[in-house]
Amino acid sequence: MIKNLRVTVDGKAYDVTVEIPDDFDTPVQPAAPPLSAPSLPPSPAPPPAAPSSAPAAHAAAGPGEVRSPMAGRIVAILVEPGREVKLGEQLLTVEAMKMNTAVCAPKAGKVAEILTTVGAAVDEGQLLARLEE
Amino acid sequence: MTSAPTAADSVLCDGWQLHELPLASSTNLAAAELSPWEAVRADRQTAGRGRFQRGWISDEGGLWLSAVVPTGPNAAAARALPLVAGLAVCDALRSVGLTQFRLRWPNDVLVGDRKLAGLLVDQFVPGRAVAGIGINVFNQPETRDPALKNQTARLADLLDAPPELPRLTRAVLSSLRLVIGQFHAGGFASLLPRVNLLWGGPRRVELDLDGPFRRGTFAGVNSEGQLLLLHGPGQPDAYHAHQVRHLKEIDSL
Repeated sequence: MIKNLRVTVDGKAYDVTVEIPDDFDTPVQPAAPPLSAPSLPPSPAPPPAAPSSAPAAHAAAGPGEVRSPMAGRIVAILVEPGREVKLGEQLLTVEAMKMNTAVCAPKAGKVAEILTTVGAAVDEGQLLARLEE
Repeated sequence: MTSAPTAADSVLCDGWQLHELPLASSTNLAAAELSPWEAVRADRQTAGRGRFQRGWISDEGGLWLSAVVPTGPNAAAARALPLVAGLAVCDALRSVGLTQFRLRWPNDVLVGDRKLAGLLVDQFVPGRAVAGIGINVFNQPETRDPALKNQTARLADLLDAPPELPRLTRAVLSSLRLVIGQFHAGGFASLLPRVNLLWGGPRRVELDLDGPFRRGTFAGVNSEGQLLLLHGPGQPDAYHAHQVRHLKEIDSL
């Protein structure tokens, strides 16, 4: 939806055209945290250095990147490209030493691509899938 | 139909909240949403699972139990959980009178070359893991799958007074609680000597390293949980669990 608006800045009027996407009803940034969210202590200082056990790749992962939490083998892929997934929904299973670890969606979105196959050996931090808005 | 565990079906058992179900597709799945120190036991599983999504026959008479445990301080430590859970099951079996048994890496419980119990750990969410434990007690898996003839063992054939399921459930949960507590307090290194007593005598094995095969003598695990393989005199080679697709026993020495 296209709208023509007149905006006045410091007494000077500007005519602008804005486009309002159809899915604009979801605000990008919520004004206040949802009520169900646990109350967090006011922004604690970040730790001086990530613990050595924490996979560095996690911290670097972009919002739509799905990375393996551990080295192992892909034993299940539960979604396919094009599928809409919810935040936290399980996408894949990685196995090592008879322990299956779920790899879940870091955000809601659509599966853009799956970058691994069942049976593949993967490294910790390896990119497994990509989500898009 | 599988029913989800509820507060109504639960009892307290040695510090655990135990949910008892007549039927579950898989007790690990039934326990997926539960909190640490909750457990699910089902009389039967319709879709019991082993490694790599293989099936696990779970008729009435066996112990099909899934226990939710906190994974510990960090992701690296959590990797040893399959070994830690194996130790707990072995302790429980000993407490009900079983003496002749061993572990096959990482955590199959064998009597001779027959499988008595198996474990499958699922980490559905970070921070907690579901330890799925299957023990053949009064059930006979080979009646369902003739291919398993002479491949399985059950407690009913091994003990003069095999434990009823409630007693065995309690033994497993209580030893799991104890061992997990020790694991969190002292790390895997503190449990290592006990774990390395469980493998039985030296054994020739062949490791499938996802392509290459490597033969040698299995020499237990190290404090990092890595598998140790001896080729001759000198230090053994260490392999991360994820490097080993499969361990095959060739023969005993």
